[in-house]
Amino acid sequence: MSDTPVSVPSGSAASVPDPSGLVVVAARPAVARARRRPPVGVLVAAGWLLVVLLTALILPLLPGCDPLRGDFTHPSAAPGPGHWFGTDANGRDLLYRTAAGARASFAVAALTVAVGLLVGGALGVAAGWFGGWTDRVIGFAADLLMSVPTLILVMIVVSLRGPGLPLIGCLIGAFTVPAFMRISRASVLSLTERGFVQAARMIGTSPLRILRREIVPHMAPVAVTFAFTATTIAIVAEGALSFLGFSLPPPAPTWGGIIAEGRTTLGSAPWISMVPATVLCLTVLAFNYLGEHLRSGAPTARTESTR
Amino acid sequence: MTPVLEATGISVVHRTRSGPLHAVTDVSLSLEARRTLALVGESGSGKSSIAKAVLHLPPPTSGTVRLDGTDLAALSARELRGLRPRMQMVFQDPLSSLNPRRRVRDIVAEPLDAHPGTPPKGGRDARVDELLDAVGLPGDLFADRRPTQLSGGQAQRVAIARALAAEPRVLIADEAVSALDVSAQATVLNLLRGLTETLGLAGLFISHDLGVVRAVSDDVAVLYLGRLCEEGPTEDVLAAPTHPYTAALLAAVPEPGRALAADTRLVAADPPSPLAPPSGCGFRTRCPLATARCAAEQPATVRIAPDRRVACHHPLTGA
Repeated sequence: MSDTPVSVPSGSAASVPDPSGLVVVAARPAVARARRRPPVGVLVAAGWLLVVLLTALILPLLPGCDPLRGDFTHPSAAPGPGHWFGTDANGRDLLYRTAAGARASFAVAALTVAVGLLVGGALGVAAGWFGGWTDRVIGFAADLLMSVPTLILVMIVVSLRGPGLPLIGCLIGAFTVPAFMRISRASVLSLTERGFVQAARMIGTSPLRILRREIVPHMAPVAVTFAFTATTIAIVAEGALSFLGFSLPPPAPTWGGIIAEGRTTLGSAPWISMVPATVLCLTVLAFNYLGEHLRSGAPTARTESTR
Repeated sequence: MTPVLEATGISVVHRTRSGPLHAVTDVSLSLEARRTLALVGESGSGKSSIAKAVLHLPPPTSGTVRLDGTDLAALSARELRGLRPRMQMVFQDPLSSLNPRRRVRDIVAEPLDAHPGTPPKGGRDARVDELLDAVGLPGDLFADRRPTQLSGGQAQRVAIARALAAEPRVLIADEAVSALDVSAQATVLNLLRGLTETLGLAGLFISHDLGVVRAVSDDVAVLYLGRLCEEGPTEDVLAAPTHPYTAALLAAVPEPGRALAADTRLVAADPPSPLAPPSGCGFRTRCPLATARCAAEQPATVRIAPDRRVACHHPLTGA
């Protein structure tokens, strides 16, 4: 091979006067990611959830707000002064009972999301990262779990083990694992194709470090978005279970339990069922709306094109 | 001169639904310090497959890659990771090769952080500033930016700074300037050119643009359908191509004052599918000189000058 020094010939791109990197594009206005005001619906949804959450946390702690104490002078009282949301057949205040019932719903939802996110997320990352047999085994297990009728299995387990919120939360969480798994697996698969992950591999970054630095941070928006969906699944499932009597036993207040208690008097005292049912519906609606806003909005869609 | 990196008989076969795809067949390359080899070919000719195979990302289907005499295939995954900093690549799409969530400082320092063995003298941040200066991006202005706040040329220079942080022996540039506008191209090309000289890197420059190749490379290897069809010193090859494909590529380079279409030496515009390559010489379906022999047998690579080789039954002489 010839060792003649190769001069940069003319007529090619390199002969263009070097604009030198020192020409700094004067501090661009930080690529203003237009912080538009959130739409009214989002504010309303977030506001509602805040109210429900705070009520659930604080109200049962206040003196005189016992959800179990019956006001025998006012059984099945219609909403009005004294009992804003009315009372049930035993004279128990429906506001206090619904607030206490929210605790059960939120506890189950939190546990569901925790289990789904941690277990499903970890399995999905493993399936997407390792591929091959790991992927196939995890995928088959997920298919298997998806084929099980959720509520029936939960009811069977609760009948055997006795009711308890941790058990119910973990069980419902287990059933959201396949969905969390699929979502995180898909994110990992598309992320490993991205240039910056390839670059990290080229540098010789260890797999754990690549996952921690390059992949998991990019999965978070998608996972968080689905966490909202999982929350609604958990709240609805807990409602159904408690309605059927497979959640906390009476007199402990749960949304489904209160709805069930009121169903015999739907004609004469409809508010007994309607108060917790309405709160449940609005809460699920709010979670869904927020989740939908997150999905369509900022973080996921904005992450620039996959090259 | 002993080559820094030597790839011998590399083949890359992708398994696809419609059968095996021979992306690269029996390609051998050697890269020497302070020299840049350009790998030229149209899209789909296997240029990037060669780059990946050389880096063992993943390893080639067959063939060996030796870095300073070490066979990469003989290493454990951990040992290979330890050697990876010695071979660095700059990617085609500058922005997607940078994690949008990290700051320039952390991106450039990644090779240092990922291999905590030998901390650079003066400390990590000082080293980052030094590297950013080397690529013409003052650290105080750029270190705390995120990739979205960079232009394409700036992003590519950040990618180069990251590659340099690894203290490589081999620097591969895979279409590293084709996504940039011309002035940014010039900056990056001069930078790459200067770095191979001053740091004594062995360069592999992958491109489809012969003008760019002329500017940066000492030697050139022309790739067609995954096979090398011509190799030699850049100036010689471009001045007097011997393979009809090289000649056609050169004729397709637009030049001021010369009509383009009149001189197109290709019979067909599109290359054949690598899934169903033609018999014999891969280029015969588009070659104006093709004969029955070209369909019957694959041309062997022949040495036509001390440092030039061609794989053609009817090489051009005295073009």
